[in-house]
Amino acid sequence: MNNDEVLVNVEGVSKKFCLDFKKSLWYGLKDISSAVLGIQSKAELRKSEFWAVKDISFTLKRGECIGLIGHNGAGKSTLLKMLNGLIPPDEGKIEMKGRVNALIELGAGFNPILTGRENIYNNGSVLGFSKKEIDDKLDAIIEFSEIADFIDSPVQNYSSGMKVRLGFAVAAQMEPDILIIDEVLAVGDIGFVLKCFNRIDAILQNSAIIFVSHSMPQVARICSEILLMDKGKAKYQGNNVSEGIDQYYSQFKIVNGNLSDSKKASVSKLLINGQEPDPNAYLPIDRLSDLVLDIEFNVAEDYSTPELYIAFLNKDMTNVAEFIRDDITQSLSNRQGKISIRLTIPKIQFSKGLYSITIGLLANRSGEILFRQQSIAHFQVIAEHNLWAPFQLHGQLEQLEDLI
Amino acid sequence: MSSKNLKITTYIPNSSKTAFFSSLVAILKDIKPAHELAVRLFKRDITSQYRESFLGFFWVLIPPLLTSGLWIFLNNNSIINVGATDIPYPLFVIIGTILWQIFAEGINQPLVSVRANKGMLTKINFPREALLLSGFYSILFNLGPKMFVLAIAFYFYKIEPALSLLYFPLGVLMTSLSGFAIGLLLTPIGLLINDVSRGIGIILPFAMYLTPVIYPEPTNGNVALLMHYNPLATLVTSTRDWFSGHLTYIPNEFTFLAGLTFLLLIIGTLAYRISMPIITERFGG
Repeated sequence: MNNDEVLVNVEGVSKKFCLDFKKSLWYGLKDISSAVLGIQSKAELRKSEFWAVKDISFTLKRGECIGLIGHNGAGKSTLLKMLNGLIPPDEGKIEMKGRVNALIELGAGFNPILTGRENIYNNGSVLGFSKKEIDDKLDAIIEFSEIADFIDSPVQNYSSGMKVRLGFAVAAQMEPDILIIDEVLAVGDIGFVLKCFNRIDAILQNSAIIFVSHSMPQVARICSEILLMDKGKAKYQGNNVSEGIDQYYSQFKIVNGNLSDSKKASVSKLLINGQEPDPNAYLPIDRLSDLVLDIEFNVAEDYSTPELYIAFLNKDMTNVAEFIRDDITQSLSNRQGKISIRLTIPKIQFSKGLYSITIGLLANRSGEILFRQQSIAHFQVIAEHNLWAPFQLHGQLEQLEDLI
Repeated sequence: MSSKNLKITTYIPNSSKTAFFSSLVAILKDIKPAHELAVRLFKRDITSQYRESFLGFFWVLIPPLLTSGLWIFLNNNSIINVGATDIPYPLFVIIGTILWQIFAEGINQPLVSVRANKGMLTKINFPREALLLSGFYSILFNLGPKMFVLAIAFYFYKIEPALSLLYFPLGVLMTSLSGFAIGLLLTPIGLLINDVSRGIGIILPFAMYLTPVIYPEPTNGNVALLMHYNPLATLVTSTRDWFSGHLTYIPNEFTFLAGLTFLLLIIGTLAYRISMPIITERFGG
């Protein structure tokens, strides 16, 4: 097999989109009549139109996977629709070589009244399998889905996860030259998602994949190239997947967290690595460098020995790490309503990504919360590798001379 | 896997000069997969429809039977007088309303089928004609119970089977296809704006009263003139007369209409194919 063969060739592709619904319908009617009557329509923007996709180019060979990332509305889905041949580009040219399959909606063609088994045929037909192909693959599909017990009950009784399983099990039988995947692995339990990824890895051996996802660990896992889109344009494009993901993360607007203000305590000053945090930006911190927090609290004088609590949340607002003091005999002491502390966390081992800091002050070790503010400050960990896990542990690996 | 002979698909901006010819080629190439998918979708729709229903076929029969019943009742009680019919009036009206029903289903079906699968259109690349075909297959399927009722009526009114009865299926098919052709031509616009389906809903019953469905074609006066120019009159009257044995040949008007219907079907399918990407774009999703 020739692995240098270019399967996807996208050259300067653009697509217009109309925001105004009534106008969009009107333009649609005009476009239909000019298309049917054979009149060439112009590429210029009409009133209320904008470029949903502008001037995108890339090529993809067999065995390569491009990750399309970007905010909602960046133009990813529109680009996918063009690649999938659902809508034509307004400018540019797309060449797709070989059999193209799309994993854009799992379980398309399902009818809720019918059984899982019947719907395998419906979904398979929609994806372009012949009846015989489905007959041959039926057992494999049911086995992959792991829902053999429910295969003869109506799909309307399935949970959403089960529908995804069945949908993916059918789609997993595809043997495309080009595979388009759009955010379909968001549902489903982690075990199944990993199974899907293994299948995608297998498909990738023989095909080119265009992968759209908001899950950067997933993107990092399979993509060899990144196209970061912003307002229809390519903001970053290249083989440095890490760089692309970093740029994607840095586009995020910061959501400042809730303050539970009991009037008993407040933060009067906060420094991260000696800098005052900008509430609207992520402070870049290199992995394995020290994180130093200087915090000054105002605390009501009734609370003589309060205790500090720090938590780190990732982009999905999951609590990934906490700090509490190991030594329970020690405590902070309230000095005329003020407490200043310095917390040093050496060699942070967070993996690449965005994190926020939650600061809390308790009346004592397990006491009343005097102060708690979620996402009081934000930082971005700059690292080389992308991981699924929130931590990339620092360790030393050496090969031993002798067997143990 | 041989990489030499992979099919290359190219997407470029709508190049209208070649659109007609290339679309025609594309449609012809897609006929087989479209048919396979259409059969699957048709089975899916019919199975789920009947699995969810206790009355089943009853719903196919109820509209023409109710309309017939109403007019038979009105006529028997001399509330209205439709004039003399050359076959018993109940038979006349049953054939008429069933034929009209077939025509109306033909008009509505393309839009209904495509609308029902709107979600799939914006996500998956499949031969778009499959939706039209599956719609047509359900029309054919629904002809079954209707023909059954007509067979009973045929037996009940002891009609002499004549050779012209052989033309009757042709009449039924053309009635259905002519409706389908009109519906197909309206589909691209109807998908974008729902005024079309609303309009169809209002115009169809109105058109029925301008067609000799429940009364015989008058021989003079304004109505006769109107009937003369109403192509549906030809369809309904010829088909009914073939059924009852009062017409023994294919009238020229009918042949002309059949030709026109096929032409419209081809134009409609082409227009559908060409406009589908534009519609998909406006659907969003």
